[in-house]
Amino acid sequence: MLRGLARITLRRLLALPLVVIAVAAMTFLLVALSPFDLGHAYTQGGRGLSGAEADEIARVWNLDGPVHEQFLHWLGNLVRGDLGNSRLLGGQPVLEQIGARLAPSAILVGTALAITVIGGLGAGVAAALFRGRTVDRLVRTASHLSTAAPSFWIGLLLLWFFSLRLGWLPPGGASDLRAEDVPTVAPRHLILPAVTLAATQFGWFAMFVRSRLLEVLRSDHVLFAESLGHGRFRIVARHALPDALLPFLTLVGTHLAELIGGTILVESVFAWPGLGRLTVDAARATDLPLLVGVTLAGSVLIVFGNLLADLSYRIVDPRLREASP
Amino acid sequence: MPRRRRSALLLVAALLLAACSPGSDPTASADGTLVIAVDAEPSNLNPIFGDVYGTIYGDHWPMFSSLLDHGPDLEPVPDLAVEVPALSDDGTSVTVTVRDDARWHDGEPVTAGDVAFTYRSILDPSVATSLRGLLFDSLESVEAVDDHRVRFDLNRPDPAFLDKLTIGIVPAHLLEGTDLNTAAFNRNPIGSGPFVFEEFRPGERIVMTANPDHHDGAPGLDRIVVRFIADDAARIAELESGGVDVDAAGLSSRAAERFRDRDGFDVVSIPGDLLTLTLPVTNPLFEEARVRQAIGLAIDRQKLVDGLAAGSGRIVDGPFFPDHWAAPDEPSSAFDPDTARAELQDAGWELDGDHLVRDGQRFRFDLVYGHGNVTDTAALAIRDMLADVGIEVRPETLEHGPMVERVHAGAASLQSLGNAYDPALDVFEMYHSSLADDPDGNVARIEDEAIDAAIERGRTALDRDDRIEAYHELQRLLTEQGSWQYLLQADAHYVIGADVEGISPQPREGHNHGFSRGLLWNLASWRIAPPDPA
Repeated sequence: MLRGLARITLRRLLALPLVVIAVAAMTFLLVALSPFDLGHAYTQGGRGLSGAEADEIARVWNLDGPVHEQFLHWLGNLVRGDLGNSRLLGGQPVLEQIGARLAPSAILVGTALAITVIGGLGAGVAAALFRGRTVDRLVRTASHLSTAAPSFWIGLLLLWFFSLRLGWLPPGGASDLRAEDVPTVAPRHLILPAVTLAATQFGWFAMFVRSRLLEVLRSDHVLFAESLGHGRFRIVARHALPDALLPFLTLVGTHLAELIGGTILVESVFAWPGLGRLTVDAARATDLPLLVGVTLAGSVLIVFGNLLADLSYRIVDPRLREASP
Repeated sequence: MPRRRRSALLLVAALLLAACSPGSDPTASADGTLVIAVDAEPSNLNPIFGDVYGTIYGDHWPMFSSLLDHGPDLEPVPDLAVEVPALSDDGTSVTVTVRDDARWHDGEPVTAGDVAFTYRSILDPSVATSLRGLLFDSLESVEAVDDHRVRFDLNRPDPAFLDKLTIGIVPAHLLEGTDLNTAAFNRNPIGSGPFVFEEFRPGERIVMTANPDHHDGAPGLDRIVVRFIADDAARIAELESGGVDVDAAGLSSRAAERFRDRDGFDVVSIPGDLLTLTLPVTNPLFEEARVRQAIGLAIDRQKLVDGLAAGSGRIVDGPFFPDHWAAPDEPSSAFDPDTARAELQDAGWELDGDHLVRDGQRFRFDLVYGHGNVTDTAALAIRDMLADVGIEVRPETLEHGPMVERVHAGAASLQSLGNAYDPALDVFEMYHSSLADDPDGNVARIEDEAIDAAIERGRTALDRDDRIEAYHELQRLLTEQGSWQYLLQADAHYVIGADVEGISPQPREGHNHGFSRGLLWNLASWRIAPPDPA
């Protein structure tokens, strides 16, 4: 069984470069079609390109060649890890700078995902078990709020209440920036942004688990277990939940992209030093090498996330292990 | 059941009580650290790349020092220079003597060679700096005469040149022969200023510590943490919770007001950017001077000023900051909607109901502007005022890039003028015909020989009175021309949430950020007040 899993993992990892190249091609195409003027992008106003700037643009984008050659040239640089240098980052290599911003975003997304999954699962199960009761109504209201309210609004509300009114939690940043030595992320600083980010997806998960569980609870084998006199808790834990969990994992995979995309707003509200805010900065400054870099980095994260979701899917359901990916 | 309900009530009451108590009090830091918030994260700390905020006046971080600085009244004062030098009689050369006791933070002495290297780098076409084209158009060459004297040779008399000697000096011994555009130095610099660079954490902070060996003595603050927080609300939250001591990005008058009378907070207000309505002549609607003037007459500037908080703005009549030496005393703008209507009618625009119509076309235009507290309110007010004379204005906020394109294509815009220094630093760029096709310069596309002549005289005459005359003439011509409607000057409001001594802002500051100007120009003299014995 593990051999099958390893084989699939290997196969998916081997396919990863192809996926990245496809993402890169899309990114390149977007840039080629975008209204951004490369000259403007490099000089923030395009006042007379200097020789060095023109050289840098020509080097990175091979502007004189036809589009497909430009793409191959750019791809060649990409394979060598050369995404160009960013004006917004003082002329430093894009790849290096993205690396520095990856960890805070990964921690934020990871924590938010954990909150969403655990919270969604718990709330969904509770709502299903107490269908029509207060708990159910509360979960449903919270879920509807969560899917309807924009994340920056929830974020500002939480910020106002917990950090301004109560003074319990810091309003922004990933750690206490007054201090001498600061960790990448301090737990106290993580709470508000992670909860905000999780809130954007929580509703989907809770409602999904609830409806799925209600469905399974009506299914034949659960009825059979009930007729055998098994307790309700045992039925849910042993029979209904594993059944409901399978498609739940797919949901994790698809909503991971939403969480990563959500960092753009949440990181801006909470001054979080991650990739989401870097994306906003890059777009505002029309810093193309950086913008392309963060787009690629985000896409690669999503691809990896989906791979993980896919693998866990196979671990939970043995039937899928030997199936082709 | 009743008991459970009572405990629930208690819980709610506790929550409400907690909600009513204010957040933790701001704590001035006891260890000599001051946390300063700015709105934009710097991209490049190397001063030869100019001001990170996109202005060209040569701001630099306090880890650097410069030959001259703008002093308390905005006139040049010496820093690395022994004294403020004098231009040669023909105004085309200046020799500066560098003091011999200044050292880089790595211990090497600062020499005339470093100064020459710095300015030569700006002139080097392979260095991607925006300072070269605009600020240093007059600089022909720079040379170290000996270890302590630098000679600048100019290609024309430039009375504003001393204003351009405020660029931070960089160390030749560390940078000579490297690619300046991509040098690691740009984010990890070594300077000779009052503070030593310690750390740059992208997205978070820059840390500097006091330089005990600074040539003007050790600064009063032990440590400075600069945080980058773009959002006004987030900066307010940090001020409230004590995460930030000084908001150097500036808040709206309304937002600053809540801090004004509170214990533990001070609000410092400095007259800031001029707001203008710009009507490009390339737009067919604004072809005629009388139409442009009529639009100006239809705008009630006093009402715009009243839209700001009380006393935090004033009417302006021309391109210069009020009370600047170049600004004329007499007002040149007026509010006269009746004359505006008559002028528009003379130009062939007839009222059809509430709308002006000519050849079956309504008088309607887009007004593009960058989002901001002052611009947002002004744009809507202008829309209402012009609607009163039958002109339909459609305000639209845009980011910088798209806005430049729209303005280039002839859209009317709200622009902010931020030159508190010598007018020669920017009037050429703003109004000279040679830049009528430039994407950023001369956005109203003015081509006018008399205006060109006044600009030229203002930037080459060596006698201050001649220059004053030239700039008064320029203001008169620009008023007649009418493409630039100068509206108001709004104050920038800075909140200080710590007990800091030594704050003494400059009298005016364009573009409310920077470390060598405005609020922070004398940061090295700031100190955190000792705790009150009581």
